[in-house]
Amino acid sequence: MTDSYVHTAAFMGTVVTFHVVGTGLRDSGAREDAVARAADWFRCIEHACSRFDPASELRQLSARTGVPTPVSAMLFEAIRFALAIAEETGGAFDPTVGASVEAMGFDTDFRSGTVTQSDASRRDADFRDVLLDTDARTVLLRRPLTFDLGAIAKGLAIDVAARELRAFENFAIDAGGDLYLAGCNAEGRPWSIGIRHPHIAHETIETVHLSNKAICTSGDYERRSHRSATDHHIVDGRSRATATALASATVVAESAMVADAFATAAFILGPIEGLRLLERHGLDGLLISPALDRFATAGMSALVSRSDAESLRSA
Amino acid sequence: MNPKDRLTSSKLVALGAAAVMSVYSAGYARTRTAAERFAGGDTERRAPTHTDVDGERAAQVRAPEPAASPAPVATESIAQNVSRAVEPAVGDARTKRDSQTTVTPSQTAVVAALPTPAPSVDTARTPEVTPAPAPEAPAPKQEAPRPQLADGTFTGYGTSRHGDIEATVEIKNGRITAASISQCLTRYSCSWISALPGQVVARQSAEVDYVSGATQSTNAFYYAVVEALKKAK
Repeated sequence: MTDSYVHTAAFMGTVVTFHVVGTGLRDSGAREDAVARAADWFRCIEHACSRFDPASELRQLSARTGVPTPVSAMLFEAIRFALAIAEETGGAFDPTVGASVEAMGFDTDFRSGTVTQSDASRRDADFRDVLLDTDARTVLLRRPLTFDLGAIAKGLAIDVAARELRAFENFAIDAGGDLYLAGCNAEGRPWSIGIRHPHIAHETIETVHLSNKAICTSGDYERRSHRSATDHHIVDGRSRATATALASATVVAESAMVADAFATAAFILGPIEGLRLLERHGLDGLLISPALDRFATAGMSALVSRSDAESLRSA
Repeated sequence: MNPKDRLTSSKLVALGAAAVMSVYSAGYARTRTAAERFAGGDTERRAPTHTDVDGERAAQVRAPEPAASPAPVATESIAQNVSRAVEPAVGDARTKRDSQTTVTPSQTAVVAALPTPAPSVDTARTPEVTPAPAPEAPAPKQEAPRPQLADGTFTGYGTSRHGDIEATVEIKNGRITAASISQCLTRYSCSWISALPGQVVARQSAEVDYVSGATQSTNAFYYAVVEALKKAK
């Protein structure tokens, strides 16, 4: 029996599982400490970047307009990366769509049940209204706006937590389907990762085998709005409407923050532009249309077929 | 955005890696102390003062409205669910065993610390023992009927054919604020149980869905949570 340590806790509106594949019980104390530190990162980053928690740094920042506000490294880096993606996608991905997302009904804190609601005027602002000063690590909002760093913060937390666990060769971090896989699974093989079928829960549409990679999927099936049957939580920053060109977008990258952000961006851009974006940045991805047509980067096609071979070997 | 911060596309992925390193480095000293804290079993959960604006922020933080008091409906469902849940746990000796130790809050290393909505998480305190509210964050009024759950952190155990599961349930003001599971000596990946603890928090009960292909260990988690909740009653 292979020795593993698995810890699961609730963060960021989802469930996070840390799974360390060990080599013996001797270091189990160190292993549990490291996982505790990794989990602590999720708590800290959630506390910095939560759109729901009134005490979060993000919400405090959102309340200040027209003055440079010093922020933590966590919030600054999350915003900086989000703005870079926004710029790259011409505003299709936009971290300032929070008010529009709220207006669709994604307004309830999973923990307290508290409903947040921003002023409607905040829906007019976009990412160009956010100015960064890298040297002073300050953020200046030119107009009132509501951030939604959901796609960034969870990935960032996974990456930093993975960094915290790097002393262990083999581990997995699963944050509600966004994953980082280090080394091998308990059977000594690359982690086998199913990609969820966009229409059928509990079914996978593809399998890949990964080591030392992150994989994230943005789909129209997660977190449906309670106000509208067609609205989900991924909003096109240009139209401020729900993106509909794809049913899901999966991206494989070295970093979960990169994978998560690009999966969301590709989901919004649709199959053609989305694939171009991924290829341009050397990332692998699989985009699935609502009719279940598949659009894969060359690298992703290779990953999938390698996994087919892997499955045959292990069968 | 400053021109110097404008990125060419080829730099985006590198920026992501740099961002992660930057955040990790900024918090490195903090995680070391966190390690010592957890190693010592000290349950004092102090939100780290890792940002240079914490002081300023704390001053700005206005007390949030007390979270909507748990509705009587929710309270009833807890009681019903728990009492319904306990029966099969007692009846099935195979999937339940007595917890080996009586876990008191002060002995439990809480690793699933969820911040409460109150800003008082930024101040040092020992929430399990004395949930003393910060002056600017009055505790929710005790008007609504309270569920029969005592505050504290409780641990329960379950056994599956994949290994033993330990569940930790944290209760504050009569509500489940955190639920987590730790599992040792497992043979297989346990991603199938990952959907469960969050549901416990959301539904305020030990009722959990079955997860395809994971019935066995779903039960183990279920019984572990039931066990933990029994101690809270």
